[in-house]
This record gives sequence, C-alpha cells and structure tokens, in this order.
Amino acid sequence: MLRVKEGDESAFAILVEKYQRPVMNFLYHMVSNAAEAEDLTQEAFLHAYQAAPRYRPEARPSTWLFRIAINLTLKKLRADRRNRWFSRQHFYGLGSSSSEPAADAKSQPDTQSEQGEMLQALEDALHKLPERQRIAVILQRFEGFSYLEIAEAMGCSVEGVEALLGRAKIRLRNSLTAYAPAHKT
Amino acid sequence: MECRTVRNKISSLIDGELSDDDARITHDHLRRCPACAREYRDLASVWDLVAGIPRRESSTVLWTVLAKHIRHEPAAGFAQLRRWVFPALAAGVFTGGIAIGALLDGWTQGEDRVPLVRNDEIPSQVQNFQSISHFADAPPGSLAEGILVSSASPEKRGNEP
Repeated sequence: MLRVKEGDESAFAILVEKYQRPVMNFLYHMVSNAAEAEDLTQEAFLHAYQAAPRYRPEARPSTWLFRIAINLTLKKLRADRRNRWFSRQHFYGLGSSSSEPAADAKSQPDTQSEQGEMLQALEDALHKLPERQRIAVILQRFEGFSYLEIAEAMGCSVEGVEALLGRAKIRLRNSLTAYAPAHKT
Repeated sequence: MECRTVRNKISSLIDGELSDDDARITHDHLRRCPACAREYRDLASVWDLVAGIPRRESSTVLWTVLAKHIRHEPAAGFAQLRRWVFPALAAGVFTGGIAIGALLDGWTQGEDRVPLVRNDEIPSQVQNFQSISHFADAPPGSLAEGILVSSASPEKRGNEP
C-alpha cells in the first residue's frame, strides 16, 4: 500500500488483484445487482487510487479499501432511495421497486428446488437488514473481519459492531426460523 | 450471570469475540439454562446458514479496465486542484456576468442622459427663439422688443397689459 501511495502502478495492480473479489462480493450483497456492483467496484478502486496519497500506514489496506467501498455504497443507496421517492412508481404506486429482488422469486415457488428457495430466502433476509447491520454481517460472515476490523472499516466502536451484529442475528433468526436446522430437528 | 447479560453475549460468543473468561462464564450459564441454550442454538444455526450464501465473482478483468482509467486520469495533485478550479471558474464566470451586466446597464443609462434630439434636429422656430433671447435687454418700443413679443407664447402675450 505504501508503494501505491508513491504512485507505483504495479503495486496497485496487485492490490486490485487481491481485493477485487471481496469488494465485488461485498458490493453485490449491498446493492443486489451484479452490474451495479461491478460499476461500484471499479469506482471504489479508482477512488482508492486517487486517495492513495492520503493513506495512513496505521490503517490496514483491507479496512481502508472497504471504508471507501462502504462510503460509496451508502451514497448509492441514499441516491436510490431519493430517486425511488421521486419516481412515478412511488407517487402512483405502479410496479415494484427494483431493489426488492425477492418479489419475482417468491411468485414462482414451484419452479425452485428447496435449496434454491432457501438461498433466495437467505438473500432476501440479508437484503432486508438495515444497511449498517448488513455491512457488518457481510464483513464478518463473508470476509472474516474481526469486530475491530469492522469497526475500523465502518468508522464506529467495537461495542457498536457488537450491537449491530447481535441485532442482525436476531432479525435473521426471525426471518429464517423455518430454514434453521435447529428448528427442523 | 443473569439470562439478560448472557443473551447480550451470545452473538459475540458465536463469532468467537469473547475473552476466554467471558466465554467460559457464558458457556457455564448455557449448560444450566435451557432457554438461553436454545437461543444460542437458534442464532448459531441461522449464522451458519448465512455463511452458505454464494459469493459473487466479477465477470470483468478489473485491472485492464482500471488501468485504462488510471492512465488517462490526471495526477492526484491535479485532481485535487481540479476539485477547486471548476467551482472557482464557475464563480468567476458568474461574477463576471454580473459585472458586465452592471456595466451595460450603466452604459444604457448614460445613453439616456444624451439628448434624444440633437442640436441640428431642433426645429428652426425654437432655434430662432434661442437666438431672439439675445434681444431680452432690448429697449422698450424698439424693433427688437417687437420681435420678442411676437415670438412669445400666446398666453404670455395675453397676460401682458
């Protein structure tokens, strides 16, 4: 990261290679749209390259990069909310929101296997979590971040992350009770 | 330890974020309390399910796309400068527009102050009147006074005795 800070393009290529998958995965689960997630991933790395001169060595490259991705996502989700609010659909109640991919899947339960249904239910439940809880869940569950790393990436305290993940688990449990093995037995 | 305290620690216990002492105390409680033990099992199993959500891979070779952008991007210093230059230019254009507007307005007002009728367009009668005003000091009964009286307005002539 220090080499990137000095403008070393090959070092930045290594950084991109190392983090593009986790960043893309994170952004996909935040915006639930593969094309938008790819655009945001590109944008996140471009921001990172431009912000590299301001990088401080005490920050981990991963948390620093995810902080950029988190800020971009929150900005995007805010813009989407604003657009939805002003959209014709909102005023006239026509059609459903594009950010709710669950609707289509739920309308065709017969065509999906039980496994597929469960995965869909999981993604729906994750998508329904409040944004900050979702960020914490994705970073912990998918990227294996510790509470401290999540706190650094989100710019909050470890206690805050603890509370976010505690509430997220309870919400997910309430949404997914039917699928949890502990309940089935 | 109370159930309420344990419930607050279950999430951290599942994620392996409790200190050894806290983890031991919490596990002791879970062994004795079926309700808390059930809560732990429920949350842990749901948490395992979440880990099974498939990851999404990028379909593009990101670096080749990024490299193009980066090579066309101005240096970071210039990017910083650009952040200020465009708003400053916009403000300059706006202020300049106002200044030019004010100047033009002053110019047209100046135009208003210029006589609408030039001297050479003043009717000959009025010019005559201006010239006959030279006879104002003419002695009474002289020809000059007669011209003065005849060129005065009818009202003025009527008021005269």
